[in-house]
Amino acid sequence: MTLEKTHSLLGHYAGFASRFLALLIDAVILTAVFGALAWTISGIQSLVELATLLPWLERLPFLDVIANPTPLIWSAASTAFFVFYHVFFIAFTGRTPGKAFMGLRILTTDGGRVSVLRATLRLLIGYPVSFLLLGLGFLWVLVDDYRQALHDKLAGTYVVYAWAARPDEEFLVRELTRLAKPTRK
Amino acid sequence: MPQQDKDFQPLRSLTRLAFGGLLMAQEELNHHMRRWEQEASRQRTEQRQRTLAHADTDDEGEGAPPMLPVADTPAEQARYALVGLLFETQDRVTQARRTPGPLDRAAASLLHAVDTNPALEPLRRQMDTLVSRGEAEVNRWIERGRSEEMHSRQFVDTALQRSFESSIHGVVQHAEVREMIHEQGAGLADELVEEVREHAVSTDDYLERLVRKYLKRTPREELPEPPEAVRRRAMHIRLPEASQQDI
Repeated sequence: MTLEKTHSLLGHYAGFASRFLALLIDAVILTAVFGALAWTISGIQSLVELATLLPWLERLPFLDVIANPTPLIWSAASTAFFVFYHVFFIAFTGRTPGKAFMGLRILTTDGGRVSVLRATLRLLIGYPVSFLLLGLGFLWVLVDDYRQALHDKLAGTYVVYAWAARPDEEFLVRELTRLAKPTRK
Repeated sequence: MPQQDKDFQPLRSLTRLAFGGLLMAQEELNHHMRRWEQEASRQRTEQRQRTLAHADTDDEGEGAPPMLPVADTPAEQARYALVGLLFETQDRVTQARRTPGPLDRAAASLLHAVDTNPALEPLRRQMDTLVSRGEAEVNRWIERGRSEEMHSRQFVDTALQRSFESSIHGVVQHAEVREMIHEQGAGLADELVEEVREHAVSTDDYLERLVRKYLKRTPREELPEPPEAVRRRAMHIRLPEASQQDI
């Protein structure tokens, strides 16, 4: 099987592997940053010990939560950080750091920038829908004609290549040749 | 003039450099030669074991006289004999230095006679005085040699280290070299990013074809063109390229 010299895929729809790698990179960044923040806050808390410095705060019902945050609080904080990270970067730059590394960009279906509201809806509604369908919402990229996931369809967005994308042709020819061989019965 | 400059003697420093260099070179060479000998011995043993494993005839055993190869020419035999003589002589000289021979024994007898004869007492006293002076002088040489050897080693160490540092410093000081190193580093990073992206794009296509094949969907050779507005927007905001290739 031969592969003709491909033209650039700039502006074309990005596929599953590129998007998944971008997601992994974002996950690493989020974990590292939030972990560092949590460690710093824990350290400050143990040093400050609000309850002993300001004893009158004990009469307030929520002091216990501030002085001794439960895992629930940490979960809520990490979720809020996750939402802020995605909405901020997508709304103001059109891509998260992971997507920037992979040369991807999120645009609306009419080529416009993604607003804060659209980015928030894509994340808070689209992602749970994609996730709750046993992850099929994310895998929909593999079968969709426009390589959209379910959350892209709900939010009206495309994820496209923002560089002169071209495949590694040697790898592609090799793997497609193998794929095209008839399988034994 | 500072005291250190007054004490500086070029000839002495040169002697230390030469002597220290020889010492360190000899040690390094000995170290390597020991390793090479061990490696060569191990290879000979393995070769011998392989030969024995494939031998059809009986072994000749240890201690049998060495058999000359059948195909040696007279010139080769003469060469082997000379080389053998060289090593034999070396071994005999080394052995002779360790074991006393007849001359050594005769000299020892004579000295014993001189040492025990009472008539030779004044001569012995003179000899003892000379020997003491000689011993003192030799001990002074030994001390000086010990000290100078240490100085020579330190001198060569310092010389090598400073030479290396100044070479690196000289290379780094040149702006062209720094620029080249920086460009090389940046170029490598950009190449890596582009490599990762290209593989991801290939994998995008490959995975899609794989899924379409197993879902019995019609494979597609090309992606559908995105809306013109999307393409224009992507071109307008194109990310910086690793390579400056245009579409």
